[in-house]
Amino acid sequence: MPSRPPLSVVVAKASTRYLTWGIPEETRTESLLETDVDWEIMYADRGSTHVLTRAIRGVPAAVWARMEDRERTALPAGMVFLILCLAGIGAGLLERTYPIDIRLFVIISAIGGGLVGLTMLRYPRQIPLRKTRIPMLMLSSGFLGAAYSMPAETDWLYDTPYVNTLVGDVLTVVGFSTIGVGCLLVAAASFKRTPRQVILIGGLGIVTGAILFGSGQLHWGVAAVTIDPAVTATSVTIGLGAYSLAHVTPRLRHLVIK
Amino acid sequence: MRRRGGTGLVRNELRLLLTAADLRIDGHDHFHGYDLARHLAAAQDSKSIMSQPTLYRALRRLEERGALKSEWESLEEAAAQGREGRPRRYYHITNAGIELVEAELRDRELRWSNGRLLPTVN
Repeated sequence: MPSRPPLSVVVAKASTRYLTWGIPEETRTESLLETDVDWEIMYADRGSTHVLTRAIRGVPAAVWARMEDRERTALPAGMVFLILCLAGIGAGLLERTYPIDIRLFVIISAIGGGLVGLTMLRYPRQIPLRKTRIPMLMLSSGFLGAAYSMPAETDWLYDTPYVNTLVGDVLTVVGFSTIGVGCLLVAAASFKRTPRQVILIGGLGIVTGAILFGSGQLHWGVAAVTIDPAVTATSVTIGLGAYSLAHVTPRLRHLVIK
Repeated sequence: MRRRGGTGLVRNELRLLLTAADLRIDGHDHFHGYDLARHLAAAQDSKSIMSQPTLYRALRRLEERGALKSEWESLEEAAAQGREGRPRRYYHITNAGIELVEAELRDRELRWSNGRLLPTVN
């Protein structure tokens, strides 16, 4: 290998560095040491064109590998919790058509969700059960309280000939309750000697509840579209956020529980 | 590439392991990653060498399964070959790797011929 490496090898090494940026330092250092030598050997064996061609061919595989690895962190779930936290606080403060007690419960659960999200971002490669015990209890009490406080009969503000908002409310109440119970089980699982199945059932409850709740919110969003765009925007955002939560939560099962 | 059933090898891993077994038969007990990929390409009569992410990810997984073992050459050995501070990582196939590859070929009813996995002829 000449003292000044050829441009193709420099480019190939740079691409490897870029595509491995962000992986744990020790793993990355070893990996780069091995792949750098690989490029040098290949240059000596096949020349610049093959080096560059192979570097380009490797980009999709590297991106796919990083995406597969990304599934094994809590970062996506943490981001979703934070976004839902902001949306929930916004909904609790702005949705003046709802009774104050429901709004307070929504804010409590939103704050709990935000704390869970921040903890997940802080510890992305584990499920920090003990550290999220209190926030999970806030989530649980908020959701269960909101479900309990939903009035049995409401002046349907947004009933239209083609959308019955009762469906949205039922989905929301059942979703709230299921998430609340799920979060309670996850909080309970943070204590020692709780069987691992408890956290799995809790997670299943959160996923199921999120799907139901999200469906209810989307239903509300559609109902309010010609009446109050702000309600539609909030409901749709929360609904999609709930679906995202249902999507990312199962991926946490790969992580170590601490 | 999705893993079959969570327990079997994906095709690239199987090809690499078979190539490693061939190298062992030919008396090349130790090889580095690029060497292995080059031999595989030669066996397939292909000019295209397996891309780095695919190759080294497969080697990592094979090592995790105990089918391959690796070790770094010493800094002195690297310096003696003009690669100061840049040691190479050498792999060798283990007995468990040989058994694994035989079991995979048997279970999936495949045979290894000229760098290709083909169905067994009954």
